[in-house]
Amino acid sequence: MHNRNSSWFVLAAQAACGACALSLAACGDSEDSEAQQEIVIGFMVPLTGGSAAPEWEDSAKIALEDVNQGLEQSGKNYRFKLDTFDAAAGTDHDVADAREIVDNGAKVLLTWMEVQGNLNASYYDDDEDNDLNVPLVVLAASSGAINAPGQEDPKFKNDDGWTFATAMAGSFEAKVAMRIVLAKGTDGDVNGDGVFKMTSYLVNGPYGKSYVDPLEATALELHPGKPLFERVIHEPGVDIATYDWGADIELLGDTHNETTGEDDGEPDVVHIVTYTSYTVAAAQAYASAGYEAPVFHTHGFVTPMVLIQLGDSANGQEGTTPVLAEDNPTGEHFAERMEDETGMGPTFYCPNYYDGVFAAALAISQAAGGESPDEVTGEQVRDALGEIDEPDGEVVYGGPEGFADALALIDDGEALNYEGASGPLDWGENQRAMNRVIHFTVENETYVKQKTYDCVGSTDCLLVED
Amino acid sequence: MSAMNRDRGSSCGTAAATTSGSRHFVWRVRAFRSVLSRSALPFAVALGSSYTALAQDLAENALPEDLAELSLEELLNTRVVTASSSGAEERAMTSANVYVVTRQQIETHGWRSLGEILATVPGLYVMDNHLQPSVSVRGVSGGLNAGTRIIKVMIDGRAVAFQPELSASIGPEFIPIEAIERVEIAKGPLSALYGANAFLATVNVITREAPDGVHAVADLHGTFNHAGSAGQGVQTMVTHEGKGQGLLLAVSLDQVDRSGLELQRTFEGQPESPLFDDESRDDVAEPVSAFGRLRVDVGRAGEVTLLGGLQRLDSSAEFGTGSLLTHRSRLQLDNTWVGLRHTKQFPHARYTASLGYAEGGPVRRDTRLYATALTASSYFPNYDYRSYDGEWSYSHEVVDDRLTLGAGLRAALSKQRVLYYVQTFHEPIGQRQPGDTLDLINEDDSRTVRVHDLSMGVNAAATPFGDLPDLQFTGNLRLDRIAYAETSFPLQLSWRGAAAYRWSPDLVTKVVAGRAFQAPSAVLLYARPGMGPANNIIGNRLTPQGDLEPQRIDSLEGVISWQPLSVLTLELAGYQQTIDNRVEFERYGNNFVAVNRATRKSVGGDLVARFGYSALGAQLSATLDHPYEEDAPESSEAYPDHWLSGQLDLDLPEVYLHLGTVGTLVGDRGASQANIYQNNNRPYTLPGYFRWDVAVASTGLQLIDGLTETKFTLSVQNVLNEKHSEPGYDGFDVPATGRVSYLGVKQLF
Repeated sequence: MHNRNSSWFVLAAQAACGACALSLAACGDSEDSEAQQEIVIGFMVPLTGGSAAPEWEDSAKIALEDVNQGLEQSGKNYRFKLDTFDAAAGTDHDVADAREIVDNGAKVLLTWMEVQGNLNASYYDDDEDNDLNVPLVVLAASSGAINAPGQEDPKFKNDDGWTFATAMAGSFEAKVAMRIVLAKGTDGDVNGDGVFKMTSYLVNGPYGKSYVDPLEATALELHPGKPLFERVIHEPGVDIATYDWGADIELLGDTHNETTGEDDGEPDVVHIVTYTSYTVAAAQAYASAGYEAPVFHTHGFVTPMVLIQLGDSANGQEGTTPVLAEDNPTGEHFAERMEDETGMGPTFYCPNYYDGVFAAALAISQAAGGESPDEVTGEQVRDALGEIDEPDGEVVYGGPEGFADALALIDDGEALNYEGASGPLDWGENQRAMNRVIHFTVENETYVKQKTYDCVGSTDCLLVED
Repeated sequence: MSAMNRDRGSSCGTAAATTSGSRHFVWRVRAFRSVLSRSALPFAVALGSSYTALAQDLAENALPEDLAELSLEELLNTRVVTASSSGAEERAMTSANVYVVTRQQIETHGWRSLGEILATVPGLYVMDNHLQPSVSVRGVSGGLNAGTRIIKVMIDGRAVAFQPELSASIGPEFIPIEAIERVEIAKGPLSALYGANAFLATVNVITREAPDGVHAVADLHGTFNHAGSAGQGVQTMVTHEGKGQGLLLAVSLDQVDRSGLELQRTFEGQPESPLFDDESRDDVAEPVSAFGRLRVDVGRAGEVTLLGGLQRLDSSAEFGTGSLLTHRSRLQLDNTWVGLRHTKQFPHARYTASLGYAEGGPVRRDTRLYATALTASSYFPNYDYRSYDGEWSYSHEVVDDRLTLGAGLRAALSKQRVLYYVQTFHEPIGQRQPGDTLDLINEDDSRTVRVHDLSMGVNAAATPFGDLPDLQFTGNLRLDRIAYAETSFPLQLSWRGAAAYRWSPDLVTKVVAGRAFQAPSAVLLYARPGMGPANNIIGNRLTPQGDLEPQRIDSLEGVISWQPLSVLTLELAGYQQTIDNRVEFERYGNNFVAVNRATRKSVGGDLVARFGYSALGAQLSATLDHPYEEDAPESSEAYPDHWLSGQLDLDLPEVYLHLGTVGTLVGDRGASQANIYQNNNRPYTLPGYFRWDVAVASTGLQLIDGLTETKFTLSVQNVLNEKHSEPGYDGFDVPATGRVSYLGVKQLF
């Protein structure tokens, strides 16, 4: 990086500033204000590449601003900051990278599905030295393996309770999706060829698998006949611009089944299950290819840029997503802030990012018991995270005032129950929050909510009657 | 001008001229001297130009009759027109920081395009992506596919941009280089004269004069690049000057092969790619340009001038954004313009009226763009325009030699097809068969947009104090109402005020302040994505980012022009500029959208020192720009943090040679926002470099009896074959041109 310090501009500016500083020292108030402490929250999420969504980072920053404004309102002498690391995909360096963030003072690590496994595993290997000793809050995750009861895989087990997740497993959303698909035509057979065939285009990895597995399982469970499945897989990390999406799309709409090798007819539905940027590229290529089989999307489709890039070719497509902003004061505040800051409302996982930052800040403050959290340990934060959703606690919402209210409760030693933008953020036994699911369609290049399914009240994700 | 001492009589004069008893290096243009000498009054004014600057009195404000030879003093005080609202002015006194590149410099250094000329101007930085060069000015880049978006580019005062992009092609297709008399570059805001987009600088190419009789120039040349690829070109110009009328016609055809360039790894987060193992192939450009001008003296009715041009950009797009090393992408873009201007000079007043028409668009037959690494389908950029403009101005000398007032009106209307792509399938994909096409735009979307630009302005030039005749003031005020379709931008106010004082014949100081604006282009407002899955520009009006507004600059600049010694001139400029609503590109999904960002403030300066003694001439130029706003990046995007250029010329008429060399030291340039994003949001810079060019030109050769001069030019650009990269926008940075040799022969008739 070039150093401009040699330029005469800087020298002049430094001289001027020096003079100003001397003047201020001579004339100003000599009383030193107490230094404000900076409390670090680690933020290991994708900032670039196909899995990144800039609005997620925006959501986290909004949450950070809210909590810091709340601290200011409460007269607290500390502020939170995000120590950001671009973790676009899981790598062998994940733990070392996380270690660096923790060594920088992070008291909690916010992360996502592709990285969480490597970090979580560090707690359960033989090397105790690599334990991060801070809680992990997973912000964007659809894998059902994370924190699953009885899980033995060190990547996903949660025996020591280090991992929390603000997003529910994709399997719940997938079950809702399949119920919607099978309700069309004759048990899902919309092209009238007498069979139901579902082709899935998925990204290789936990996300794609965690969604398509339950899709197919639900179809097998609910379909009266023998549904046909086909999977076409692309690798994560491919370059959006240069990957040959058309070649993959060529495999989707035809009568050949890439999974079985049989010619078993055209699909009744094509499910695209990949990251948003890839979804756009794939959906664009699919639209160009002129196939007629309808497309059903996951939450990765729900962002305005998708509609702008696809134009009217998106009309008629549909899908499901966890709720974008819960119908509560936190959700309303968050949606308003997003609109103000980004010119658009929340997109999928945005409220989960907001809640993750907000919950982490709450837990750190709670662990400090009203004092400066500088000395709190990761274990204390972990324990405190589990206490921000006390059913009998005082309900607190997001926003600066909400955080200030929470701080007052903490100062008073009261229990609190945070109601988030993504849902009530009740961790449950496996420390994984549940969300409501929206069924949407695209009409006139706009997302239109059709139905809501409540996975918070019941894991059966029952339809919410209007 | 009285100091000029010209050798007009001979077609192949030799000795350097001297001025007023002191020996000065003479920046001599021998080529064409005979035809230039005793020429009719040159055009100080151009047709279709702004009603302010170009409503000039040809008689009273004539340029030097012969720009063939300029001393240092004359270079300082040569008369220029671009920044003027009341006729040609001495460069030192004109109300802007104006840099001039003369015909002589173009000839002796072998520069072959406006882009190459602008690359030598302190304060401007030209990046060539081997398709459409981009210009950054004083620390500010136009961003993705910038072209000349942030400057106004004109020929004889008439803007010639491809309007959907608001950008001119400044390669050899811009104008036959033979037709250029000089290039005036006014740095700083000039919207008060030229309206929208005379934003950070204004470039005005002044064409050559038609001399008495019929004359012609024929030029043949060849180029050879570092990888052994060859190219060739031809130019011809015919002029005729009769009684009361003058004609100039010029045409150039080129073929340049740039093959053999390789992408370099430039940032840590750059993904592995087979593109690094590839190199440009069949990277051929075939630019075509034509220019014509007819001037008729209609007696008491004044003078009518008709001029027009064709610019055909025809280039492979080996390093086009989103279209890297496809070895088959090509863009052919035509831009045609014509203007008719009438001027009438009264004893104390001047009237000007003009009409203009322009159109442009890609040529369907040869334009095909492939997305990087994807060959199953190609894309055609579907945008074009037609525009009409009219202008009227009147100025009146209210108080003799003391105060001139003027006013003008201008109206422009254009119909532009908004950018969308047509996809053509070359392989079967799904239901599509080879040859099928698909319009990548919604059925119900409007495909055209009408653009209106109505403006009115007033200007004044005054020498108010009789005791201080060398103290001059100028002021301009202009209002522009610009509307795209149903959307009007707020009324744009531009102004400029200047005070210049000549302390002595050798010292002039001036202060210039002003405000200018740049209206967004139709592409930035309405473009549809679609060329491949990524790296498109999406129109701001299609996204929720909010309406894109014009960006605005306020600038204050001081300039000192000083000739401390007869052999030395110094020009020092310092400025402060503040850009509000600065337009930047933001990642939007897989693509980009232009958004208004925070204010950018910077201070900077240019220094130009010229030395001339006997046969030796030298020029040293330096420029710095330093942003000082909060959170300013360490390095400005696509602009060097320092720039230093040395130019040395040796005139050896005894052996019929002129030697010229330019060495340029360029500092680090900040990467594009797009690539920084791909580098995990970590800013990075592209390292500085040193570039050395050498040119040898014959001078005064008359090889064939009965003919005038025969001129040979051999130039080598980037002698050291230095390899560096310039900021790119799709995960890669663009390799710069390697060593290129040029050999040309030109015969004057």
